[in-house]
Amino acid sequence: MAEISLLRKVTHAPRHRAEGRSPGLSNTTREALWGYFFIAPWIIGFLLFSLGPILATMYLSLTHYDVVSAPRWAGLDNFSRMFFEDKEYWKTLAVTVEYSAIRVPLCIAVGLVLAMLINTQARGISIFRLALYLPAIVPLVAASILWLWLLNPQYGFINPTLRDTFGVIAPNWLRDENFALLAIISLSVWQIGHTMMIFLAGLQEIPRELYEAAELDGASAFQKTRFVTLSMLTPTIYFNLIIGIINSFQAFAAVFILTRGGPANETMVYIMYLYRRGIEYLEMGYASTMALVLVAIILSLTILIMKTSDKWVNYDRV
Amino acid sequence: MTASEQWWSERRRYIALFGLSAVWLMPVVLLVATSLKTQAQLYDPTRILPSPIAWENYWTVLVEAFPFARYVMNSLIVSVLSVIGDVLSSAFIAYGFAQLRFPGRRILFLIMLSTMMFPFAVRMIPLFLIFKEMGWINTYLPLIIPSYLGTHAFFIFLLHQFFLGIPKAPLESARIDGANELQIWWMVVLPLSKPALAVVAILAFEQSWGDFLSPLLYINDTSKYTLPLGLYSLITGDDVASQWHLVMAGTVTMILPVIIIFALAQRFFVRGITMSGMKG
Repeated sequence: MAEISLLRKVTHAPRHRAEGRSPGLSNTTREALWGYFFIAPWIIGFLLFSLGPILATMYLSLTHYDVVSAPRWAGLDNFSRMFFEDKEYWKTLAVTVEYSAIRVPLCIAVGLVLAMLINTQARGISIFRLALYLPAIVPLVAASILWLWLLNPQYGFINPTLRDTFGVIAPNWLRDENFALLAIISLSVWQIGHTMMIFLAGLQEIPRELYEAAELDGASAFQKTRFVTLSMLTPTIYFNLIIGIINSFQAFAAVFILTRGGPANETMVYIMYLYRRGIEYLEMGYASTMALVLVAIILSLTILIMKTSDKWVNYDRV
Repeated sequence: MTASEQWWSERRRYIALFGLSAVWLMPVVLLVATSLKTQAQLYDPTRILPSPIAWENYWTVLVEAFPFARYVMNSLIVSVLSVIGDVLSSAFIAYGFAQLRFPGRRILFLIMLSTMMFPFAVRMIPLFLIFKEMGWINTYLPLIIPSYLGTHAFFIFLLHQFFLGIPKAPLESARIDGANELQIWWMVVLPLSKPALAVVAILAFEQSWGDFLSPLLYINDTSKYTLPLGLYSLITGDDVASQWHLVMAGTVTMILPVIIIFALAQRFFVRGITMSGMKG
């Protein structure tokens, strides 16, 4: 740098020349122009594929639109139909809430227990880690089709095994109103690997001194788990809770493949119903209304959890 | 000794891990075994191991009865092209956000992050209509082009965090040598970022390869199906019951590339997951 300023003094060359840049623009302006140049693809993509569609959804939600003819203004018709007339919609909402209420806590609990089990340096542990993580990388479509076979009452593995080995007649899982939703949830539990790994990362960040201090205070293993591990892990639990809820409310592929919403709409989750109305019945306006309300639901749940988080999430990392 | 280490005595921990791992791996073992059974063996699902081994199932699925080889090709084309798009555009945009100062940078970055919060459903109907209007239905363009325009905010965020950590010295000396920002990005930043780019590439491949909803919306022609749609079409026939061995062979075909990539890039993969936690 010193050489350059010396050179500048000697030659009296203009500053931008010395730095090999085009004249006429200040460095700040030039940097800003480069900045916009670099983020330009995002701006285009954002307008085209995010902001534009979101605004269009808002508009369409106020219309009746069947793709064939032009959208007809509907005012709040779609909303009143959804809230006051469409019993199927309320069923959908109930199913989605039930699905999330079972799936999210179950996945957090199982993920945490598995993470605690694999959180050790014991010999051969990496093989167990791999075994438990592996299902998570199986693409959801492939996993769903595998489940379809496993749960098949005649040709699958589970029911014939239960029958021949234990003499138990198991239900036809996916066609049984009481079990279909649970069967779909079991797939999420099997693909728990990602959640498990995030918990493992969280566990490994807990400083050992905390356990040593707790031991000096005479804490039992249970007390250490409760007051050190769980309390230090609350940010990770919080993170998995929010991601889990957001994902649960958007469940689609597994349901589409396993049950298509049946039997008797017992697995008709939100996006499944939205897809049916919008794409299968071409009620695009109504589907847009459903989409908007879904955003509102997800946002309010997220905000609700964020607001209550300071009561139970412990950020006092050492 | 952490509590979780003490809570389970080593022996009990091993017993639990053996049991759980067996349960977790069982479906995969059954999947592979069933994919190698003959049709007659399907009627005895409790006998796990196939004998004789029907390797020809894969030939039947890939070439003869179902043109799975074509679906594999279709999926490869879509995935490779969209992974290139994701990696290039995310790195490009992230460089702008991370290394260059311009008015509105903060607010635009926040807007970019907030797009992660919006469910796909809220954009689904208009996107379908836009692509229909552009005549892109039944082509791969809707599956590929968005990747080139930074539509995956999470990848941009990931690379942004990585670029913030790049030392200033090599960038400054390149500037003094007269390189412009584009050259710096291509010749200095990208070579320094290979591990992070690998993470993005792997996650982008995983996402594109497994994507079900988008091809379901945009692709109608059977011959243009990607692998997830092709696989799905196998189970919609009336005679599924008699072809589970073929369905399972198709399923293995879909899983195999992911497993291979995972094996090759295990460290990156796990790092990407723990960095992100976006999949749940």
